[in-house]
Amino acid sequence: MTQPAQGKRDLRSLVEECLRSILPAGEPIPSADTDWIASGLLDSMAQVEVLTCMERAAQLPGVFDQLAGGPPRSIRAAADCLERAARAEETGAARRMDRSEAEGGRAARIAGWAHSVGSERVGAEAVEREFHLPMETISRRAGIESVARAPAGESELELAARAAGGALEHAGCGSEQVDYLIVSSETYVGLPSLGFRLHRLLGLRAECGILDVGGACAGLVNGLFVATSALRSAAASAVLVATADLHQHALPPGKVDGRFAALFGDGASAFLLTSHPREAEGPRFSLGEFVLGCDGVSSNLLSVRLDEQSALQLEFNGDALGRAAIRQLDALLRRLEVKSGCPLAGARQFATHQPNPRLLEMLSRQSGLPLEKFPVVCKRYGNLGSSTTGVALSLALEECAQAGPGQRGPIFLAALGPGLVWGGCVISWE
Amino acid sequence: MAELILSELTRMGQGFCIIGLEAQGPGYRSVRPMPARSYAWSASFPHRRGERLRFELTGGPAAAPHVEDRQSSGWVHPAGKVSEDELVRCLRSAEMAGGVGELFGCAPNVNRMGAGAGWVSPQQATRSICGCEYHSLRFVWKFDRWRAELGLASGDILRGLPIVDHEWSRFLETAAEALGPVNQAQRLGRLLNETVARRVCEAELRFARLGLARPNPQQQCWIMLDSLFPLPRAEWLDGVGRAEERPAVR
Repeated sequence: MTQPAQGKRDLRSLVEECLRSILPAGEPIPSADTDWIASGLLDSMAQVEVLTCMERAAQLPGVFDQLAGGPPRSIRAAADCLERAARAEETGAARRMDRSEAEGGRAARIAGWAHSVGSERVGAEAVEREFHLPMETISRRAGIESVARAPAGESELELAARAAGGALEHAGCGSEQVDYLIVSSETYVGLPSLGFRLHRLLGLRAECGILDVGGACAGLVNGLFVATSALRSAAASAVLVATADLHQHALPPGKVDGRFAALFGDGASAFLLTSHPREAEGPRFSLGEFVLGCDGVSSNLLSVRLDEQSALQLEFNGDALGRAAIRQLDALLRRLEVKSGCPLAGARQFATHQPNPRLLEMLSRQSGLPLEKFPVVCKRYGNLGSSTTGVALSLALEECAQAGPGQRGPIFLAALGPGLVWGGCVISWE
Repeated sequence: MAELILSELTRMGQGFCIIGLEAQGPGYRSVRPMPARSYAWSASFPHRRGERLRFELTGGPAAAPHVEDRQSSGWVHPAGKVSEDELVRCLRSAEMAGGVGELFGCAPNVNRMGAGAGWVSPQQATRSICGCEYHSLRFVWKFDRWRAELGLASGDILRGLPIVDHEWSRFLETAAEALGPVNQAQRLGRLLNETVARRVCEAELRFARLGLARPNPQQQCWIMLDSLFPLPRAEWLDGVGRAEERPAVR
């Protein structure tokens, strides 16, 4: 991939390379000033494809948008435009680098992790009976063996507190050291927020801020992104990120379509993130650059809302949603590969969202990634909402930490939420 | 004379390309009447979608993929008009596809590094117009024009579709004019994706017709959005732009 700041000759080569990708084999590259449209070389559709290719190759998205006089139509015009943008990008990057160095060049690492799932296991057959589903709907079609249920009297708070306490203990960090608490739950309803209640239960300092973030199944990644940003900007030194989801209360039998509700279980996860100087010694799990995005084209495949009578209204097109989810997860993993420079083939674990085991198998097949590198979550516990990725990450970190020196590879974290919204990063052992 | 229900009125250069539905057995088939020496009728073509017109057609089936092409020396004025609902019912009994591979008789190609627009080879495609059901719609601004992304009922997604449907093109122009030039693409994007696309996707009448452009020098026939149902409604723009026109109250 070509870096943004590059010489004029490189940019011209890049433009020619992109042009060549759409021209038939053997077609000569036109002269620098040949108008692609007027000469009949390209039609307007092919022009857009070529220019988009250039934006991506130069890592300068939107560079040809809304230019006075329209998008470029010749090699020279396109290369000049890229060069101006690359220069502006270089200046901006230098400013950002100066600021980062002034702040101590801090990075974010995962110092502690833990998860907690409902202590009761309900077999797939029993779940199918509860939700009046035909036999094998959950076990055979979705591939779920059992779902985790929290015992009566437990809520998101107890699950979250167990996971958070475990993460603090694992990191050897006292509650008084936490600067921010970030919480995500797709099931908790109430005020004050779950973040507030967890803050009180853990006995965090009054100066420790709280952020409750959304995103449903992508909530953990949203939380980790905010935490990482706070650590890198030196706004905090220790951030606790927690997820907790109790679906048995949110989606009981009879409330919504059982084919949807029966897939879910109860669980929580927590991670303590700390900042450290880049030159600090000792191994650690470091969070890389995040990729976040949203593709609204699949927004009506899953929609849950309250109607005027406060009844839960569900729109769910499982088959189409499954296909869209696999496609996006595959694309997200490939974006992370490009952004991080870590090849997928070298990954130690894939902590991805797991809607159900069958879709995970499809993702594994489609992406060519070994299924055994995906921690077992949904097969044993059901879909845990925002905690699915959290439990998967906790298991992946544990597996990686226990591996011998030289065997630890990067963990690809990738989550999807309704919309579809997506996000992820690569966590590397350094 | 062949009686056609005018189903597509798409923009082509300064004029219009038209397609009509001709009854065939229990269903319909698409026919593209064309004037002599051109693919498009002039901008003064006076008729609207849904009108029944009688065309003088000559010549047999054209070469693939534009097998629907027929030369026409003209038309006779309308013998009635069908409603939008009725037109979609007729379109559903004409050429139909369940997934993208069935649209034109071959799988479309996409340049992975490009904007995602699909194209087929004229040597492989067997027709140039087809209908399909869709479940979602998104508008995307790319460089200098709006394009559509359609999530088909099959789960396939078609990206970078040029919107050549005349009524939707006119709607986009009207909306842009109402919003004015300041941050137009961003504001229009919000309007289209937050309001218009939602209304479209809430409608029961969701149906699209996809067409193929003529082959370009690289032997690519681009996939275009020829028709999008429901058709746009003027009331979707009620209130648009007025807030900006009102003087600020202090």
